[in-house]
Amino acid sequence: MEPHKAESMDLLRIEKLKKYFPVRRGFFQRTVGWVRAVEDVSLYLARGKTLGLVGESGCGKTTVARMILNLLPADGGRILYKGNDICGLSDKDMKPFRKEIQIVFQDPYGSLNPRMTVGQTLSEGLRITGIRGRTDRREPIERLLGLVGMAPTAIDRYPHEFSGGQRQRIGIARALSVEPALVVCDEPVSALDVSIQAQIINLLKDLQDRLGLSYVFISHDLNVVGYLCHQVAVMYRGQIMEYAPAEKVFENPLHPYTRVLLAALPDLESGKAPPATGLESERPEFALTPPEGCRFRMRCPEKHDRCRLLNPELTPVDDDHWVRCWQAPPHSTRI
Amino acid sequence: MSPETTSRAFGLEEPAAPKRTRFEEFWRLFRRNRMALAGLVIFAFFFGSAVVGWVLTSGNRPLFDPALVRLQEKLRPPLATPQATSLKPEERPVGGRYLFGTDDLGRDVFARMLQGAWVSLTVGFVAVGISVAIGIFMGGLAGFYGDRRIRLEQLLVTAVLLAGASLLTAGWRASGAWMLVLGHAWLFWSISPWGIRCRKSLPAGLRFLRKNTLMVDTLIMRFVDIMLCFPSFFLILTVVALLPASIYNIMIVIGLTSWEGTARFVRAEFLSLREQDFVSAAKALGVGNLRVIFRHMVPNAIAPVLVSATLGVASAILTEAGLSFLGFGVPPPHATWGNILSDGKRFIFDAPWLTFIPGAAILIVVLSFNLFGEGLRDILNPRLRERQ
Ligand SMILES: Nc1ncnc2c1ncn2[C@@H]1O[C@H](COP(=O)(O)OP(=O)(O)OP(=O)(O)O)[C@@H](O)[C@H]1O
Ligand SMILES: [Mg+2]
Repeated sequence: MEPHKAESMDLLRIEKLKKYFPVRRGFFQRTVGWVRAVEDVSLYLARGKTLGLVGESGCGKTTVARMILNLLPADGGRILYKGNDICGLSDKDMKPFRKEIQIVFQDPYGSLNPRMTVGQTLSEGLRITGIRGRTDRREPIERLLGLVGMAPTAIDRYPHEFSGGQRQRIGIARALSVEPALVVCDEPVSALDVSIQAQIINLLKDLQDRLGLSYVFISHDLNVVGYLCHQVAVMYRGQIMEYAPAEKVFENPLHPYTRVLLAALPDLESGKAPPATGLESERPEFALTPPEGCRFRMRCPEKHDRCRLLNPELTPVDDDHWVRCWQAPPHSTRI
Repeated sequence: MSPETTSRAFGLEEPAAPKRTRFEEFWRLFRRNRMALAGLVIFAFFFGSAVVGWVLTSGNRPLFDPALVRLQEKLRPPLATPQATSLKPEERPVGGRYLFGTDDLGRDVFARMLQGAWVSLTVGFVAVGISVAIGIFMGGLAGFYGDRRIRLEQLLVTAVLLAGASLLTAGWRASGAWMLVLGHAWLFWSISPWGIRCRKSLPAGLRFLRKNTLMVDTLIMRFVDIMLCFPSFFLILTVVALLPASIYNIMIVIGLTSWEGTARFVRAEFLSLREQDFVSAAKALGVGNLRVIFRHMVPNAIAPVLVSATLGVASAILTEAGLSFLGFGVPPPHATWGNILSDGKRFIFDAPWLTFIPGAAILIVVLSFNLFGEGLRDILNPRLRERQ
């Protein structure tokens, strides 16, 4: 079951994506269990739109991102990019798609090679697009820097000479250097200062308008997601809990987890701290062997007998609103 | 308007830090580390005198002749003037004095020390060059391709080739050559298009050949562990006892027995670099594996290797001196610091300079390399750098 029908307009379609990491112990490194990092994730993204992927730390967002980039092999499911399944492609077969899908990382300090100047970093991508000569590259590099709001003087500098926000701009420029259609942004602002966050988000939005980019925007900050995204997927422990257009998620959240997340948002106008939700982090060993039934039930304020026994499927409550919860109202058209 | 002011005017982002190259930064920090600086100065002096010494002591009629025997002038103390009456003009030392005295055959110790400096320098650098090259290769292989599995057929081909080579060197010419031919034929067949096609439809009986065995990482690192089980000085002694004594054999043997540390360093660095975001970004751009290794990983992994290489030079010099002292080193007419020391120990009370001068030279040079290496480590390690 995947949350969309009109296949033709999708840029990216993820179907039942799965990734289990083995847990190895002991001298012989035997596999004693599996971390179900991503399980049954289905999403779609239309051209020129932004898909927000929200969830707490460790719920598998980065794992999904790395699988979209084919930096990590998936254990099951399909990733269709413009209708082509890119799961498990060899390096050679993946080559044509490399230019189309790019990534911006969370950590501005680890995402740039400390031994390469900004110019060298950006020219790697240009080399791939076929601009060979050193002098031929100078002009496109300056154009890329201008695109992300950096002065052309940055070209001969090393990453350590820049602030976090500036490095993030350079990371964005690197992603843009191969003229991608889809950019996966893995928490691009969560390591930055609040004032800088706004600049980077506006930059991303501006670039989308100018270049017609599509984004998968990963975040744990619902405010940012609400501002930037057209579609929102709420993820919990490797599964999508709710998936809908941004307005619906914010105005009519149907999953208890989404409601908890929204309640925990600080109110920007009043500046008041959010009320305590009573949701402390659980013991980590649950990550290894999730209990039977709904993954969220241990923390769910509205849990039910059925939740303990069976894991609900992601089901439509509306044409474009999907929820994984036994309590969700049934699809309106089916009544 | 200058470019600076225009970019300000348009609100473009500029780096806050003043422009400083990596080298300037490095030099600024290095100058503050007195000990490392002293190490570098002594090293430069040693390097200079070894090169100059090589020029002045080699050739048909060298300025300083380390092999010139003047029996009537034996065991003269440092700074002694020669007895002019008994010496031919060409036998007189340069400057009219024996700067470091003479040994039991009346040879000029200063000339011998100069010649020995060149031996120490080349042994140190060539041996470390060999060991670093092997270490980077093995460590890089283990770190980057470590999780690949080796197939049984690959192990078998290697075994056949090695067996062939050792049979050949051991004297069984015919069988060795046959094994080599067989191994190479197998190798070429398996990479030929025909072999690749056959690979997919292997009969069930031969399917076991394509079975996965060890991981590359396991193979290399267990081999390193085995190498480290042998006390390396005795390993070198054994090998040197079997080989003809020559300076090249010493260099190669020291190089072949001291790469394990470098391999471990490089592997550890590669394992952590492989997970770094900038490496993932390069892969996502579609940069090829070789370019990722040589442009992104090696430059970031080289710092600890440089440090261990510097320390390795010191230990190679020490090993060579030790071998020469025991009589397994560079063969006699050639002077090295180790055999000057070894010859001098018989006269330690009559002519103490024969042991003190080479001993002090070894001490100072080894110490300077160690100080320089440790200074380098402090500077190249960003965490230690912040402390200063
Ligand atoms: N290489 C790996 N080996 C084993 N387990 C892994 C690996 N990578 C991730 N995991 C596990 O998978 C789960 C999801 O990790 P992931 O990095 O995708 O989370 P995330 O949602 O990106 O978290 P964050 O918000 O902190 O970045 C975690 O429980 C993590 O421990
Ligand atoms: Mg993450």
